Order: sequence, then C-alpha cells, then structure tokens
Amino acid sequence: MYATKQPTLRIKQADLKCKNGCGFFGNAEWEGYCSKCYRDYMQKQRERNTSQEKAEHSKARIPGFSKFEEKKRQQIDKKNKYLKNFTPVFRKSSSAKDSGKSERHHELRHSNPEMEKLTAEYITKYGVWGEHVRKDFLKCVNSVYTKILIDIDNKPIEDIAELIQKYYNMFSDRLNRNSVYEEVISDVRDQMLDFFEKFVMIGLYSVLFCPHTTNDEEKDLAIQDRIRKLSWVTAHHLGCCISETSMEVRDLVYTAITDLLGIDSVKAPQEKLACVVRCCRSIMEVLQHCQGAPVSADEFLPALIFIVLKGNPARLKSNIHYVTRFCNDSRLMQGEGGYYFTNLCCAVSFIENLTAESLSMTEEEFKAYMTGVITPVSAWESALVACESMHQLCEHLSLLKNLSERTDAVQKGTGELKENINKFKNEITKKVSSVLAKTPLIIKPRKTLIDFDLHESTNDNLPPPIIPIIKARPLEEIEDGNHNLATTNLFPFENTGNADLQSQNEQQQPAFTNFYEQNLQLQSIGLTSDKQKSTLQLNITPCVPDLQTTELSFDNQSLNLDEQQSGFLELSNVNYDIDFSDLSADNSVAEELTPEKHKSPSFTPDPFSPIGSSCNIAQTPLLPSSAPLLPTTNTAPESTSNPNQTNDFFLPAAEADRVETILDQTEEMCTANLPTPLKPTTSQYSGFSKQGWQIPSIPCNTGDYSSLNMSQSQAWVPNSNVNVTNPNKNNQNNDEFEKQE
Amino acid sequence: MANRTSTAQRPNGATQGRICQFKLVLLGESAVGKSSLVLRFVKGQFHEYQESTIGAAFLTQTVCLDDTTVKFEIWDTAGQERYHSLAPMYYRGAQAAIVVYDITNQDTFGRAKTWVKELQRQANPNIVIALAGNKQDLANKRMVEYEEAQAYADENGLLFMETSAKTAMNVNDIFLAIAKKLPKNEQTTGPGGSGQGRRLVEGDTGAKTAGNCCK
Repeated sequence: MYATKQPTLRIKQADLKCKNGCGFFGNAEWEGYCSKCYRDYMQKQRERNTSQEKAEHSKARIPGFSKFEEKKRQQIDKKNKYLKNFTPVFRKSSSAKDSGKSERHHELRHSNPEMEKLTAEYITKYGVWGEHVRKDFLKCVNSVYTKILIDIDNKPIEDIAELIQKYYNMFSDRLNRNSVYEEVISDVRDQMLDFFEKFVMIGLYSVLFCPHTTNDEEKDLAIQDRIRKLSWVTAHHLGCCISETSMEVRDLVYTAITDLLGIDSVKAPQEKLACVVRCCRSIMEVLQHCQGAPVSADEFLPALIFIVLKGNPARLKSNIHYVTRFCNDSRLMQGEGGYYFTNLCCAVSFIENLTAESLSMTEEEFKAYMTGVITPVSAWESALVACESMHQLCEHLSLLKNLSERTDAVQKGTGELKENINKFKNEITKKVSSVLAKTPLIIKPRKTLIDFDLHESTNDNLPPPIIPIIKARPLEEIEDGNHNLATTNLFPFENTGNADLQSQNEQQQPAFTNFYEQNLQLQSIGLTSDKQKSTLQLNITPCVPDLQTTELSFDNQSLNLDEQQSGFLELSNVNYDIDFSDLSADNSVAEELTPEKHKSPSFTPDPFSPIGSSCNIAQTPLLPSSAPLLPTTNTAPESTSNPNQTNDFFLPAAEADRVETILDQTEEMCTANLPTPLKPTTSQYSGFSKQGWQIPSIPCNTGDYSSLNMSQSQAWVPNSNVNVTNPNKNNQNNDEFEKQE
Repeated sequence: MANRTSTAQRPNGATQGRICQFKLVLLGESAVGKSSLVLRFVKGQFHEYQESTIGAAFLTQTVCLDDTTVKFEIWDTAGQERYHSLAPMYYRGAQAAIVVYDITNQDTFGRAKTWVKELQRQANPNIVIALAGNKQDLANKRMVEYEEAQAYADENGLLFMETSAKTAMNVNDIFLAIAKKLPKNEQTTGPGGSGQGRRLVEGDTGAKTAGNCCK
C-alpha cells in the first residue's frame, strides 16, 4: 500500500499511480488516489461515519506526510463545504461536519499559542474572582467556539455575526444574572464582557476574519487598487488644510498613517477600534496644528479620507467588515471609537464612490488624472518623496546647530583656559619675583656655611671630617682600581696645597692647572730638600682632616667660581687621592704601560688616562712633565724633562714635597690652621690616622700588590726604586709624625 | 454595515435607570456654526482656543434633568455637500439630531430642510429633531425670518430655537429641550413639541441652572 511504504529518496512510478489501480496518477493530497477515486473514497468514508478515526489512523500510517495531511485536511474541509453548498445530500451527514468541527476546535484549543496567552491574561486580570468564575467564563467561550465552528460553513457570515452579537448579549445577561458572577463588581463585569469578546474573537480570528464565504478579499484588492489609482488626490482636492511644509505636521501625518496601518496587525475588534481612534486623534492634532482652532467634522472627515488615501492600509475592507460584524454593537454605535470608526467607514465609502463631482472638478480632469494623463501637480507626493531628505536636512541642521553650540562652548572654554593660564602665569611670575626678592636670603645661609667652616677650622672640629675620608677611600679603591688609589693619595697634598694657596691668595682664580703649576713650583723647590719631605709627611696625616676644611674652604671660595669648577675640584680631590695611592702601588697599571713608555717618552701621561674616568685629572699632575707647563715654571721643565720615564713616579713625591712647602707656608701665614691638623694627632687619632692613612694604600697595595707587585717588582726594576722610596717616605713620615707628637 | 441596524441593542440607550446616554448628531451645512454650538455647550467657550480642546468632532456632555442624568454624545458631521451621502452612517442609531442653519444664509436653511426630510425618512423613527437657527447675534443681517423657521418646525414637529454660540443664547436650552423630550419621546412628537421648546426659551434661567449642575 502506498501509505505504508517507507519514504525513500526515489519514488517509483508505481507509487505515483492511483492506489485503486485505475491507471491515473495519484496525489499525496488525495492520499495517493486520483481525483476521481479520492472523491469516491471520501464519500465512502463519510458514509461510514468514521472519518475522525480514519484521520487519526492515517496520521499514524503516514508519518512522513504530515504536512501533506495538513493540506489534505484543509482540502477536505473545503470539499465538505463545496459538497454542502452544491450537493445537499452530503450536508445531511452531520457526523462529518462534527468531525471537522471537533478537529478545528482541537486545533483552536491546542495549536494556537494566543489562546494560552489569553488564558494567562484572564488569570492575571480576573483570577481573583475565583475558580468557578473562570470555569464558567471558559465554558461560555467554548460554547461559542463550538457553535460558531459548526455554523461557520453552512451559514452566511451575517448570520454568524448575529450569532456572535447574541452571544455577547447572552454573556452580558449571564454576567448580571448568574449567581456565579455575584461577587464580581459591576465595573469588572463590563471589563469581563470586553474580555469575553476579545477571547472569543481572537480564538476565532482565523475563521472569522476575511472568511472564505465572503468576497472580502476581492473587496480588499479592489479598494487597494482604487486607492492606488487615486494617489494623485491631494489635500487641496479634498478641501482640507494640511500644510505639507511643516515638519511637525508631517510627523503627525506619518503617525496617523502608522496607526491606521496597525489596524491589520491586531486581532480583537476592540484593538482594531483602538487603532482607528489613535489614528483619528493624530489627525485631530494635525488639523489643530494647521488651523489653530478646534477641529470640527467639516475638516476632520476630509483629512481622514486623505490619510486613508495616503496610507492605503492592507485588507482595509476585511478589517472594516470584521469590526462591524463582530465588534460588540454597543461599542460600535457609541463612544469615541464608534464615532471615529463611523468616520473611517464614511471615508472608505467616499473613496469607493469618489467621482469628479465629489472632488469638485470636471469629469475630463478627473479622467485625465485617473488615466495618468495629468500627473499630480503638487505637493504631498513630492513632499512624501522629499520628506526623507527634508527630514535628514532638518536633522542635519539641528546637528550642525548642536555642533556649533558645542564649538562655541569649547571656544569659550579655551578662552577661559587661556585666561586662567595667563592668570596662573602672572601669579607664578609674581611669586617667583617675590621669591627672587628673597633669594639673597637663600644666599646668606651659604655665607653662614662659610662662617661655619671658619668656625670649624678655628674650633678644631677635626674628627668628624676624618671619617668620610676613610670611608671614601675604600669605595674609591673598589670602584677605581689600584692605580687610582695612587691619585687619591696625591690629592690631599694638592688640596692642602691648594687650600693653603687659596688662603694665601684669597682672591685667586684657581684654574686647576694653576694649582699644579704652583705645586710644581713647590715641588721643584722642595724636591731636593729632605727636610721639607719630612715636614710634608708631618702634614700628610694631619692634612686628612685638613682636607675637609680645605674642601669646605674650596666651597667657600668657589662662590666666586663656577659650580662646575668647584665640582671639578672636588672630583680632582678624589682623583688625586687615587693618584697618590697609585704612586705607592702604581705598579699595577704602570706595569702594563711601561713598554710603551720606553718607546715614547711623550707618552708618559697616557698610562693614567686609559685606566679610569679620572685619567684627565690624573694627567694634570703629570702636566708639569709636558711641555706647555714649562714656561710657567722654570724649574719644572728641568725636573720633569730629565726623568721622562720616571716622571710618573717622581711626581707624587714632588707633589708631596710641594705640599710640604705649602704647609710650611700655611704655618707661616695662618697659624690657626696648624693646631687643627695637630689635634687629630692625639693618641687616638694618630693611630687612627695612621691606619686611616695607610688603609687606603694598604688594601690597594695588598689587594693588587700581592698579585701585581710581585710581577711589577721584576718588570719595574729600574723604576721601582723610586716607588720603594715613597712607602719608605710614608713610613718615615708616620714615624716622624709620631715623633713630633 | 447598514444591514445590521436592527440588531443594535444599547443597554444604556433606553430610559431605564438614572443615567441615560444619548447619541446626538449635528447636521447642517458647513460653516453654519455646528461645532461652535457644541463647543459652547460642552466647554462653555467660543472661539477662544484652548489647548485642551482637541476637537469638536466628538464631544460628550452631561446634563441633569430632574431625577435623571442625561449624557449627550455629540457626533459632528461634515457639512459639505460632497459628504452628504455619508450622513446616514452618522445618524444611524442616533436618538437625537440638531439640524443647524445660519440665519444670515438662506441656503443653509434650505439645506436644513433637506436634512430634516432625510432624517424623517431614513433615521430612527423616534429620533428627536431640533432645528437651530444659529448666529442669532447677527440678527441684523438676518436672511431667514424667525417666523418662517418656526412655522416650518411646527409643521414637521421639530424643536426650534434661534441660538447664538457667540453669546451662548439658547445653547444650553436647546440641548435641555432635547433632553426633556427624549424620555417622553412619544408624547411630545407633534405640534406641542415646539411649544415646549418655546416655553423653555422664555423660562431661561431655571433651565440654565439645571443644565449647569453637572458641569
């Protein structure tokens, strides 16, 4: 059997043939029969009064053709109707009708999601009135469903409408008289009546809206076509005053049109009516805007006609018929909704019967318009077309306005900001000037520093200065390396020398070279004298505290100098310390460079330069050996020129000698300085100063000596003699220092 | 839609109960002052435009009459000739109608006569028809004589008053007259009706207070 076959991808030709085997092709909609056999089959089926069972049976039999079955069922219904209308014999078979009804009822009850929504709405609205009310309400609704579904196919739609109205009245009576609704207050009863109407009509909407027994659909198309043909009709033709140029009016017109179009999207008659009311209120507003006076029907009706013409709502006639038929009469005959709906009916009627006379134009003109000979002269059509651009234009204008406003605001803001900036600037300049006026006060504390230094020197506050030097040396050792240590040793002598010189020449411009020149002079003077060396060493230990004082004095005097120079001096201090240690332990660096030294006598300053950042300064003590310094001192070239190779090692000694002389001078010049260096020579400080003095040299010597000195001593045999002498000198100095104590 | 007028059943339309609601249709040529009349009756205003007044096309007004409250639902109609054919839709189911004409315009009176004829022929047989000669304040430009209109009203069993929306003359009275006539529709039809209306015009103040009580 056709139906029992499993659905396959390919359908054989035999499957397409009629199941009866009559040779004609069958159709799935006809359950595999040909049209003729299917008709016979349906007749038989109806006669057997088992169509419902069959339907269920067939459903089960043909699982793959459920869609077809849906169509088939519709087909059956149509066929039933057809047969009913034309063959009264079949109409008597009420069982088939019942079956169809129950099916559709079943469909209504279960396949319609709106019913669930409505039930939910009922519960939220009227659930408080109890279960028995709800049951009775639903019973009434169901009885209407049942009755209407029975009658829909065999009664004209007008009778159905009567029936519906009767049901409305019946339910109204029931609400007022039945004991079930006793508790329900009268206002809610009215609402329930409305809801009953809504419930019934939404449930039956698919059956009652634009029913197939009527020609509503044709009328819809006719009116739509008619309105399309009348698109040239303007507000002017209708004698109503809608100003097309006003944006507000245009918006309202569109609102009205939208509301009117909404009539097709809602289902309940009262909802459709509400759409009409909204539309008409918008029209009222439009007219109010246009004429600025209360709107009478004289203006309103033409405007409504105009809106209908421009809106051309879908299924207009169907909707109007639906509302007139099934809306509760009491609502339709009175109230605002009734009035506006009547107006809409009038408008539609007017459009349907529109003639040249009704537009107060000649027949020829009307015909010309209708046939399209004359194109619409104005206004609204072009306005409609231009509307979008106009709308955009307006939007853009407003946007521009907004932008310009914002720009103004920004410009204003920038102006304010500028003012603020200027104010701030002025304030700051004022403050700065006021502060600048006070700046002498800032300079004064520096002067106090000077005083402090002086006091310090006078008060013999020697001990504290010592400590930083001790600390500084190891750091320098670590950082700068061994040969730098030699410079560190050198430096204090120079400093003391400088300080002394400065103290001698209070207004001196201590270009760094000058000190050395002077030092060199001193060196040259004192190189030969052993006494001076010994005195030098006396000063060496005490000069450590002196270093601080001298540094401070430098600062004091550097007030006259540039800061860079003072800083340079400080740096030079460090470097010369290192240089001196280098003398004691200069082997480490000099060792590698000696071969070059031997090759080029002029190379002498170089050994220090590559070693560290202090090379420049390290060279400066060597400057006396270089030619340019020669003119400054007459003796210096002699001393330096002679021992080119040994110059490096002689220099510190020379410097030491030189310093010694300076110290002597200082002793002579300012006796106050003398006690200060001497005070640390107390038992505590002497030892400490010894160690402190030797510590820098020792660690650097030991650290590098141990490894380097061994190799150096061999490599530097000729030169090392001088080197050796220096530590000896130091020792001697210490000894002598102790002796002096 | 006109085929179902017989089934119209208005629970409130009948006179039972204390509140009676009536549908009243305004007919007449355009610019005779229909809406002005209604606005004067409902809002008490003339021409001075108020924002709250959206339109005069559909308005309701309640008047107290002895022991009953009468609620008028006033349907304005478009008066232009071209919409004349649509009028039946408006006055279908109406219990009362006021046919308005302009006393300074003879044509409007002619149109009013045709309206009356039409109402008598097509409308609800029990409809109460009132004839209102508006713009009484322009009586010096009168084109329609009072007597002529009164005679016509008597002939056709109409309520008749000359009214002025501008001065509010007879405005409330004509509505009150209709309200009074409505419950006892059957009794007042005939020549006596106009006499009653006439009497009300004379007894102006009492009627006015009655009309104002529910405002």
